[in-house]
Amino acid sequence: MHDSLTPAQTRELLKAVSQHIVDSVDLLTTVDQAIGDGDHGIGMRRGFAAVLEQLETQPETVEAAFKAAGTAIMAKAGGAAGAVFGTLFRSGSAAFAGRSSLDAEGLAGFLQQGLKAVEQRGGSRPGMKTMLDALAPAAAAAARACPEGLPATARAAAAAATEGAEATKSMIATTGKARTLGERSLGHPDPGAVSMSLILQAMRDYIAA
Amino acid sequence: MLIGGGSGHEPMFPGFIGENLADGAACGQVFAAPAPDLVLAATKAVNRGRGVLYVYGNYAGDNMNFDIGAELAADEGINVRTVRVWDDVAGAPPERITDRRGIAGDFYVIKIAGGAAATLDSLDEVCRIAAKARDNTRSMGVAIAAGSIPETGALTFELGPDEIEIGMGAHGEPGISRQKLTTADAITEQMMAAILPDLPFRSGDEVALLINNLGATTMMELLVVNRCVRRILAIAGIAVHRTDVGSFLTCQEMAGLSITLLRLDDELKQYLDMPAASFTYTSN
Repeated sequence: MHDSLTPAQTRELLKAVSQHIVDSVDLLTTVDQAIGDGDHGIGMRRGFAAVLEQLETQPETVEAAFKAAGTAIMAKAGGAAGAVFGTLFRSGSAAFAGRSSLDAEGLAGFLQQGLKAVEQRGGSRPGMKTMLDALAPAAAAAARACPEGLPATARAAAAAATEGAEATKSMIATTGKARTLGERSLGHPDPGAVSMSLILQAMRDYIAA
Repeated sequence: MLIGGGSGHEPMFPGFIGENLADGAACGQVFAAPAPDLVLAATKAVNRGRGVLYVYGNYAGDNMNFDIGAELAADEGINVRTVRVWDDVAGAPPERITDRRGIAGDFYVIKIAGGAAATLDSLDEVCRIAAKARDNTRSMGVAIAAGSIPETGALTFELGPDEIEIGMGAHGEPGISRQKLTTADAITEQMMAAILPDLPFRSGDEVALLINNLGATTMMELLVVNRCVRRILAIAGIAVHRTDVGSFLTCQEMAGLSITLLRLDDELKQYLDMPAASFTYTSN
């Protein structure tokens, strides 16, 4: 159990997240085939495999590690996922500026800053069946759980994101390649929201271990 | 002019680099928008000091990545304007036209903007003309069988052997209506009934017509559809100035096609009629 992570541990955290996304390629492919063009999984795998490579350069601070992750994702994932998840990590990294470790406050700040940046970049809001429907509840839950420490904050964020992704099943797609599906998009979760929940689940698991 | 988007639609986009066409294409992974650093590198490669016009299909991924690229280019002092193509009438109702996808109509905007960019001194003028071409273009597609993403081998959608999907997107993303296979004439009439009122195209209009192969359809079938479209247009009192038939924006091995109409005025005709040459397309 970690109540704060050093920069070295932060690199391991991001490696664990990346490995989990890479390992989840088939799940994400299937989710995207239902309502999109089926390339979400391989794009995310490309982006997060690049994060693993980038982390070999051993970024020295928490902020630098998150920023490096964002840069790698944006450059290699491609597509909407690359722009959105790249923005999340790059812009969210600013929450760790000047901090020597990753703690509950930092994690909550990362989710909040990331949320704002993604909303601005993509022009979407919660309720439109995107990854924001996992990220927004996660950011809110993390902010509330902050006083209880890092493991509790990570747990709360992961649980909210998972619930949020599940909730996208009952939303009609309004953006991205699914949006022409109309009511046919009902019953299927948004792939980006599923990815967001996987990222936070991996963070929770690393922090708890 | 820089064009681009996901790979997997060849010849779109690299097949339209050339004389009086685009100066470069930023190509992402199959069906995925190019990353911002690629967009920036391509922008710098084609920039000649008078600014760069981006022309690409209206998709969330392309919009975000090209926007980031444009911001990076602006940081380096390069003036960028953008025209997104949203010609697919199946994508959204007319009141939400900016929600529509870009499909084969990309070709007309690229050809006209390419001619304008080769002729004019002003980025703003080229942008205006490209936007006018975009505003007067309407398309719709139909898919008979799915294409696949090479990396996974998986088909991008499932369609029964006797089913078709009207309004199919150019990536195999589901369209607006799944129905039983019927004759080419019946399908064409259905698609034209959606396209014509959308602009609307009216009696007395002059158009350019594009019958686009989405991948695996035979030329014979494209020509059968063309014949039906010409019959419908003749009854509607709409003259056809030029026709292009072939593979312009495909989706791997998807079987299907799209119909695109561009309403012409003298200015659009001037640029559309300019000779053009690329490794895949020639027009005298």
